[in-house]
Amino acid sequence: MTDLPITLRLNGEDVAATVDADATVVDVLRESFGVTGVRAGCRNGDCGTCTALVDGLCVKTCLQLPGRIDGAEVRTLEHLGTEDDPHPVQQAFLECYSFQCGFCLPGMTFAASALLEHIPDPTDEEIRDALSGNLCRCTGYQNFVRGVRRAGQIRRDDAG
Amino acid sequence: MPGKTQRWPKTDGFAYAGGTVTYLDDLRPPGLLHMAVVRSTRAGARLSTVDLSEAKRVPGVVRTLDGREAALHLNPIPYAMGDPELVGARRDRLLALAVDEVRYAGEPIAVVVAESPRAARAGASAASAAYEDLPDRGPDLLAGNEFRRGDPDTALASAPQRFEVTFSIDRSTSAPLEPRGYVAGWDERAGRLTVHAAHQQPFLLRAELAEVFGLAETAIRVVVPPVGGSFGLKMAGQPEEPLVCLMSMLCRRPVKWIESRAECFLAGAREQVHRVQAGFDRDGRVVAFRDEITIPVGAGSATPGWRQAYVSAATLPTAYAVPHVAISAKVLTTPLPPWQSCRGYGKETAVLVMERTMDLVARHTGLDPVEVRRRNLITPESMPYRMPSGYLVDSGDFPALLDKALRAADYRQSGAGSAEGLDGVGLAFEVTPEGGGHASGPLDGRQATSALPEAATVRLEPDGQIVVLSGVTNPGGGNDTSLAGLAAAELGVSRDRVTVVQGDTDRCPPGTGNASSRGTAVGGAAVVLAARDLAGALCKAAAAHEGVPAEEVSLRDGRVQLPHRVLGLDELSRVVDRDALSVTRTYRPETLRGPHETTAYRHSYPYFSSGAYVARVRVDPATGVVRVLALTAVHDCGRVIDEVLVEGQLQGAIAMGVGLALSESSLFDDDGTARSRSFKEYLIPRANDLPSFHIGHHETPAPGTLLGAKGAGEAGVGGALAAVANAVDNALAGHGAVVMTVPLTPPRVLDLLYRPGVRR
Amino acid sequence: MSRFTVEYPTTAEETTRLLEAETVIVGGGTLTVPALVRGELTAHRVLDLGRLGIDRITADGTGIHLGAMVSYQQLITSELITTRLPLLHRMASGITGGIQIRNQGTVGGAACAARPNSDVPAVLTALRTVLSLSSRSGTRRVPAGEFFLGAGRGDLRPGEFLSGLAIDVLPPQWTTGYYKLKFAESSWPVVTAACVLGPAGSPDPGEVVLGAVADTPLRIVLEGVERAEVEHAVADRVAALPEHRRWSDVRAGSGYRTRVCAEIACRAVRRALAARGESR
Repeated sequence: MTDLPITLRLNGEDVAATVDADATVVDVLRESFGVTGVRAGCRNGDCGTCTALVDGLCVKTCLQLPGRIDGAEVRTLEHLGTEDDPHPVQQAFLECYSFQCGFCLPGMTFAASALLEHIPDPTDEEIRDALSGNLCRCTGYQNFVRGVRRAGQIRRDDAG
Repeated sequence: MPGKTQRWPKTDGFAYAGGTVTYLDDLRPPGLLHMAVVRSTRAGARLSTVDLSEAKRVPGVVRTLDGREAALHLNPIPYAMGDPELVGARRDRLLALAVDEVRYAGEPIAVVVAESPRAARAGASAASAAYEDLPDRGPDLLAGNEFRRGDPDTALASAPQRFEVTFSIDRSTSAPLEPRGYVAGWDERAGRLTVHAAHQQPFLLRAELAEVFGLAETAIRVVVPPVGGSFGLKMAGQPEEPLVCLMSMLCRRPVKWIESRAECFLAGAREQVHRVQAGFDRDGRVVAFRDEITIPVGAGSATPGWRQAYVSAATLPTAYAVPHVAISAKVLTTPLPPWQSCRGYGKETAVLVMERTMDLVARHTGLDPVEVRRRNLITPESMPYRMPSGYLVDSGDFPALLDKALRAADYRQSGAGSAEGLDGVGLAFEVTPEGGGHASGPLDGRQATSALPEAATVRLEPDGQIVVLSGVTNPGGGNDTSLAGLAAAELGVSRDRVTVVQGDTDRCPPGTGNASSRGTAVGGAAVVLAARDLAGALCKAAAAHEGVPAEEVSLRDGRVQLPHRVLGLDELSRVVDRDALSVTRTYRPETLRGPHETTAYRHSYPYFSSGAYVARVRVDPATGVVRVLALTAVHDCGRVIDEVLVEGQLQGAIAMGVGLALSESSLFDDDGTARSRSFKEYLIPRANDLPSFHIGHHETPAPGTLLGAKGAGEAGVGGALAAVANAVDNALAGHGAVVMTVPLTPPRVLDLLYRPGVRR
Repeated sequence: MSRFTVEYPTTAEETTRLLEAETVIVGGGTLTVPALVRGELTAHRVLDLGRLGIDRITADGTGIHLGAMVSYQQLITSELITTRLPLLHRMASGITGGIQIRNQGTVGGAACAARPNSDVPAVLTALRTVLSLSSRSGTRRVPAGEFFLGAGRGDLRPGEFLSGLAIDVLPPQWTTGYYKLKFAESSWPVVTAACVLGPAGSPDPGEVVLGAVADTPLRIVLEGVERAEVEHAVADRVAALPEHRRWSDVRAGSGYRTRVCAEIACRAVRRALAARGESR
């Protein structure tokens, strides 16, 4: 009775597994489905490395019990873009040397993309605020700010 | 086609951006078990019993191990990075699991292995231990380090002006986003141990495990997957390293251990108290500097963390030519978790102390802080400059660097403030001894030290691709990209034709991994030598094959340029003897001497990077909250190999320095229990805590390295820390306050502003 | 092997039926889930309200109703909240944790957690929010001013869960202001002040509710909106606090809070004044 069967649409595919009811979604995604695009950096909702889109909402999956993704659509960093057709945020982060070790990218990338959907041409202050749920110890955030600015530019160019 | 993603600067960038890169915790070999560590809840107590019976009953638990059983299998952990005696320290016998006595709350006393990470953690929580009080022994002296120059007693007594002040620095930590982790697999039949480790020092880890298990180094392979940041934390000598291997041997299955965030916060460093006396004349020239330092390094440890205490003392008086100096450091073991290496490696606290001292000299003499520094900086003419500790400043043009930073920051002493608060500007000059070699001093019959080499193999593959195998590792900063670029330049190919392999002890030539800012300056030099030799050998072979003079052959645009035609590297690889296709070279930085020096010194840090920093802050006088408005840095890392990578290193280091100045502090209860267990208690800067940094470069090549490069990585922590501290001091100066403690948390700032008896 | 079972009720009836004394309720999960994972919170049974569908914002004649699972992000984007409860909008916009926590954290969860060092209790108190606590025997309605009993202690009885919050919209010409002091973006609030002011010249100028100064929100009735009057009212109220009620945590001791709280209150008042077009 402590095992929980779940089915979900994960990165465009229907998947199912029986998982520990007391696990968190970050562990379920990693252990049951082999996802590498969420990571357990703090298990406390502080660092953002476990960020994914659950039913389109940008969330920290270390704060969720697995029933929350039963029947849901989950999208992780692996499914955002491809090398040949990267998401504007991915392309911009690469161009701007935004990241170093890369561990923080799930949170940084999804937070940036959520921001740009709301505010296509954000100020630096808005960018820093949007990224503030994610910790990075390598970069001092500077090249992430540049990267988000550049991603906004790419989006606007693509749209225009 | 690589698509529209630019492959530069990170050669395999999209694996990161696309989330498919596999860090240590992504490794799940078949049959994997998971380890959790049972930790002492007491500090400085007798460990009467460790009861694992409840742990064994937790479903999924496979095996438990206490200290007594561990001691049957494991030799003591050897000291990483040299004998403790090298830096005047006591030698302890350091075991992976405590037996009979626990030294600190958080010390490993047992381990539990289970089928899942959750079961292992549940098992560890079910374990219990009984403790008995021990008489409080107080701190023990681990090392005493003294450095002297001239006659400081007389000079202080006769100095026209002097002051005495005590500076204290809180304990803080590295806190990478990815905590530590290891996966060990023991192959019983082959007698071979394979360890995947999120680590900075794979070869040192291999040597350690060989000694702890009595195995030959050839029986051990250490592989480092991509690492999610380290900043000193992931060095050798940690007790979990042999434990995870031992559990794999005992269970005959692979075993993984991933550190929890709370465990990661046990690591710490930098705590120290400096009692400084400075003597100076009315022109602001410092004639005497005395510093009596107390450095509590936590419990003894095999990791190199505690050695930072030596480096702090030996780096004084940093960038300044002070004729009379007395540094005396007492390094103490205490009932807190052991120090672990932290970015800056002790140099950052020396910079803070010296920069605060220079500002106080300015305040006492009424001179501008810039002027005081100008009058005391080591001049370019006196390089290489021997410091009192025996460290040798190899190069630099400090006055020029200072001027450049002042211009870049549009420096001027600020007025008392604006409507929004008290504004302050702070200046700091930073030197960072780098390249490996923390022990110092005249030889004088003592144990000698020498420059450690790095090695690289550069190989042409049949498909015309270049493979670089290096002994230095990349904890996430991107030195792989620099190494690829250096090899590419020598071989006339584009950078994306070069694959860099690091961190695999079976494949790579031995090296020191990632430590002391030497990945590019030393590791890169080995790559250049090997690539250069390979280029020469390839040209020669092509010349012989084509029957043309070798000097008419060159490598350019990814091809062999012959007098009348071009040849692809893939074609060349097929016609050349296999032995000519791979070259291994080692490189060690030179051990320089001071001019006219007759005394022989130990080899110590072969190059010093330097930097000048200007910070502007705004203090809210009603709450004590400090906001950093601007931070400018001009950095001299010798020859800049990759500007974007160097700046990336500096940006990260500066952010850490700001954190140390304002918010980062590892807190413990009086009984030694950690209070900083998550990022909610230990505050590292977030994006909206920081301004954009302005960074400039000033290049004075290092005379002792092949490329003229110095380090980037550690520099920036101390500079930013000191500049921000000085800026806050400047903002509060009108209130008669003196900044003596970091971090400058709002309660501390308010205490400074409104001490009894001080005018508002 | 799990240490606890998790139920995901879909109706209020199911929820109240499942509630036992030993049950831990997960709302947004931002506080409870990590505590459960670390074993700081122990339970055999967890109720996750994620499928209960109590995340709507509705308005009737006099007030706004919030489902207990309304997220901070909903408070930020809701036109209703932005225009009619700007104080709540303002508070939600400053929640720590970025886009993700604003999507996940709930105002109801924060109320139940009753942490002195959080934004929500003082703001709910200032807005004279009424909390609906549902159980098998019906729904009890408790004003926020009576709900917060101590640090981490809300008036939530066994068998009850918070189903919703009701807030009366302030009369025309009443304004609000919020100020939060924290030490870094990662820091939880150190002192907060939520101010509600009546129209200029009214006999009851208004009040300020301080958070994180005492173990529960500290309501201070103002006699005037001049700085000295606010400082005086705060000083009197704080001086009367018994030692054991003063809040202290890893960020700051109670002495620091006492020193700064009058200024924080003044800043909140200043913002409320600015909202009615006055600057002081």
